[in-house]
Amino acid sequence: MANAGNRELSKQEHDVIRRYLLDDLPLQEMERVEEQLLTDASYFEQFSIAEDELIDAYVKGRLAGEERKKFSRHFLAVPGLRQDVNFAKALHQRAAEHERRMATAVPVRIQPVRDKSLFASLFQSPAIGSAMAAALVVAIGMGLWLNTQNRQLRDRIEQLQAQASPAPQAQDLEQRLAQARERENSLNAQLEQAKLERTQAEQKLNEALEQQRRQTGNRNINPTPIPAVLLALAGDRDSGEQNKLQKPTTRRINLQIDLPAKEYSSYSAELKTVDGKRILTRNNLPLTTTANGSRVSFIVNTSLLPPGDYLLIVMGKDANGIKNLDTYPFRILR
Amino acid sequence: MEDFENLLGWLSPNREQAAIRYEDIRRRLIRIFMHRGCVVAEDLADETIERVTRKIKEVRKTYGPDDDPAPYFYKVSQFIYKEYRKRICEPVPPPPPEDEGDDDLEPQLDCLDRCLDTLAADDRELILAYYPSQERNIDGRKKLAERVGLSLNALRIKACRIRSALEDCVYECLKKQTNVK
Repeated sequence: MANAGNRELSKQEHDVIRRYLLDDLPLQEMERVEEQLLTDASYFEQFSIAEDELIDAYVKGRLAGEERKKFSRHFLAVPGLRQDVNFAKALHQRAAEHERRMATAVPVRIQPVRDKSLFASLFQSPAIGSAMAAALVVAIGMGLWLNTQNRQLRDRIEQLQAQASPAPQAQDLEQRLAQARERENSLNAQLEQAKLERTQAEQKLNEALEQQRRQTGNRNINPTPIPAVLLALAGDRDSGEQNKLQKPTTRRINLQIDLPAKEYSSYSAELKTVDGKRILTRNNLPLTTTANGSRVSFIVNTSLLPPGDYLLIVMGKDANGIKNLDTYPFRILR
Repeated sequence: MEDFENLLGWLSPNREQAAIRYEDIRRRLIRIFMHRGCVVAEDLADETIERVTRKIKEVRKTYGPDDDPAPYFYKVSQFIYKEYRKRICEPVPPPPPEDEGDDDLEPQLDCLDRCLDTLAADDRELILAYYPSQERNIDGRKKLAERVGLSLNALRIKACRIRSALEDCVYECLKKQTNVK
């Protein structure tokens, strides 16, 4: 099977593929395309791209007239191809949502709402306004500074690694490397903390916006707040009752877990169904200090949580490796 | 079983490579049968491979060590297609009119969310950014290509590969959901 690498198709080849996809080629030419599909990996890849692009054009309403009819006749009649069309619709929907989120993400951080009167009225409340503005500015500034520091350190580590050789200075270099790594770890932890503070500041802002929205009846304020739920540990007297959650009505939910103290360099968590089916894993969970210890947050898409029983397993990582810390069972009610 | 081992040996002396080529041929046969309008494309692809497997001893004798087995698979697939057409007396039902034919996308979206979560963060970001909603695809993609340090063609290929992996994942997820129901 030839593998010609990532070659681009000529316009003529492109047209032939398009006609094949619209079931518009004479048999002999069709067979030529098909044989090439089986024998030439690169051709197959370019064919797949052309196929995706044609499906996208249909989904986005850019196919018209006879071509659209041919497409419908060919693609919607075969379950496998129809599924490709549905997949493309779903992907475009999510991509559009992502685009909207990205477009509003910047204004939310720099200029929280577009509606100036609401923005002003929100910040007229001294308790909310000044605290949030300060927290956001500090958190964003710190995040940017730490990012820069981190990048510089990484560059430095790479330089040191590149220079490291079994020469006489090797031990010294290794020592410096270890120090640099230690400093990077410490900065990473600070960066995570800054990220968390920013998330919390944004969350407070969300809550305030939500409150404002309820008061004003305005439905156009973004972003939707992410409700937080504090999970109790398995075996706690009230964990069974506490961890029963109403079916979430938001797109995301923030599961929070209290830990005795920050004992590990980073925390991760795995979400499973009770019968052991893994749903997702998140590493480097944001950690915050509370009055009684520390708290980690785990934001999860609620479409992954239909009514049922789940386990959230929290793990800590240190120099000795990763250790399972605790399991937090919870139930999503119907 | 012995024939199947023989088939893998024909595809590549390296077992791992043979398995990859096997999957590759199967995937391409499925696409071909789908575009021939076959409702049971997967079954026909499997039937083709099974037919080749049954004849593997004789077939291998007629092929040199450097000959590509893929054209032989294609020849067999053409026979299978003709047999299928004879078996199927009824023409493929016409698709429902477009305005009535919109399928419920909820299961798709649900599975897509799960599958997006399994992607590496960079891949997830890339595939979602690759499809801007407006008619400025080319400009948007040029900028994206610059941002990720790829040529436009390399970006198209990368996006196509991620999409293909996502599609497989969603397909498997939907199959599981159907089985559960």
